[in-house]
Amino acid sequence: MADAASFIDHKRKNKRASFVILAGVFALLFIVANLIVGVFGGYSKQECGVATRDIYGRISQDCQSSLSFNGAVLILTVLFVLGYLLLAWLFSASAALSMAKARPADGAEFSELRNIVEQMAIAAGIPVPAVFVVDDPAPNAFATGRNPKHAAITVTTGLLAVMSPRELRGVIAHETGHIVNRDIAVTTLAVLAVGAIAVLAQIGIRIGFFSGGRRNEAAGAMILVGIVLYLIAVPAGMLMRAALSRKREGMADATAVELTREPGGIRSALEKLEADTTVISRPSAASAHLWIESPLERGGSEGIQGAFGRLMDTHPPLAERIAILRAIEGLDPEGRGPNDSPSSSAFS
Amino acid sequence: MVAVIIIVVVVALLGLLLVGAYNGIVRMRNQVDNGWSQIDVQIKRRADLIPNLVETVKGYAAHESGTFEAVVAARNATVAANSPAQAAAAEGPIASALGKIFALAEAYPDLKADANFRQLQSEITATEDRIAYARQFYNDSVTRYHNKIDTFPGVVIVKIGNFPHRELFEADDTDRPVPKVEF
Repeated sequence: MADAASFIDHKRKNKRASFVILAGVFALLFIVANLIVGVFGGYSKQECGVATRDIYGRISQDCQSSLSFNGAVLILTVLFVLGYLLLAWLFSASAALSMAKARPADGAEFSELRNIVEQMAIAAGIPVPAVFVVDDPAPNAFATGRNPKHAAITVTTGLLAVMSPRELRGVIAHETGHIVNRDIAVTTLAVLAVGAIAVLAQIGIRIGFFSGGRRNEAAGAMILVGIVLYLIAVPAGMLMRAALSRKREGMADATAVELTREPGGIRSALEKLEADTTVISRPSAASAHLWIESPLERGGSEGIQGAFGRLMDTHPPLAERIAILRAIEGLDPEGRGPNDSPSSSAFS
Repeated sequence: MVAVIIIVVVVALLGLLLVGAYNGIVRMRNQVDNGWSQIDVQIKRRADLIPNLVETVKGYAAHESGTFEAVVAARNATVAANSPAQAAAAEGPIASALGKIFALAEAYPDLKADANFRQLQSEITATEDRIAYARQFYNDSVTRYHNKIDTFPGVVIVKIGNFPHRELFEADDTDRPVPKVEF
């Protein structure tokens, strides 16, 4: 898998992963929407009893009048959730950009940056992404956009200050890799899925408690399902999201090597990121998976807490990524350097 | 009856697989065409910049007419090329001709200081980089396309359409080897 065009296979796999995640979300939504409908039907038509928990065939036999009401709630719930997902999907990129306070990289001082972005887009065979900068001394970068046509690459001014053109090319190639591999679409879906599960679980618990006073059997079920969802589905979703994100960081590093035809640029850039201790001033856990280096500060990495922390990390340890790249270059995986000097930076 | 259903299902599945494989090959062929047009766009862009460059340099070094003629001839050859092999053959002369014209800046300090000249030089250099990356993508696409149409089932499927082999864009000077990547 050493040629640039072989990303297309990987892209297909990512598309498939997106479909699986979407299908999971919709299955979950369907179950929870049905439960919510059941509870609403339950306390609007108490005399219908147990049968109102189910909106299908059985209801029409036992309790004809509540069917239309149930249907309306079902449709409203589904429309509401679909609308939420669609809006979140469409606006996730601009939300991430405005959260990071990114501004368009216009002006002569960013011409070298725009140039490199264009080169990498050409090498990957995608439309040239929009380029943004964040005024932040912490060196970091991220890509957004649900598909290559709507993609954007954002870098911090700190990144431009410390990276040589060769290293910057490596970083941009890594971000371009995320775009070509459609990582952003998959990880955005994963984040939305986890969010939707959390919201629905909370709705379930609240509705359950609210109608619990009426000794409704459905209410008990709602509380149970809500709590189970919360205890199992939410952490599971977060773990899945983190694992998905970690795997894709390694893939994007591979893509960077393939696009630039040399592992030295991205390797040297990652080593500089590793040595750097500043963190992004406006970190957000919701968009942590987007950045080339995790923007969040982490606690100790020893013991159980450390192991759990690693499971929840959206990025593999930089040392692991660097070791792989050093091996490709034929350097000692545990060593560091050589690095380009910051004075060779094309920016100020 | 059961046997008939099984046969129908198997035939339908095979048909679907064939359609999928065929579409995959068409997509790759389109990607090759797209890759070629990307190279073409950048070569034309460079060709559009060269007359300006020649005019600018003439203002400072009017008597270096041999250098100007060489670069104009090489430029015209890149525009006239209409196949990857011809375009690749035209790359060597244009690279050395441009190298000579940029080298004039060392002999003429006023030229070196000219803002217009420096702007043109950086634009042309950037365009050359883009040509190199576009070529890389094109060659990767062609190799992938060839792998697909030379192996089964592609080798059978291509019989029912127009899927010729494509020329690689092979210039001998700047081709960089693909590093081996295993993750």
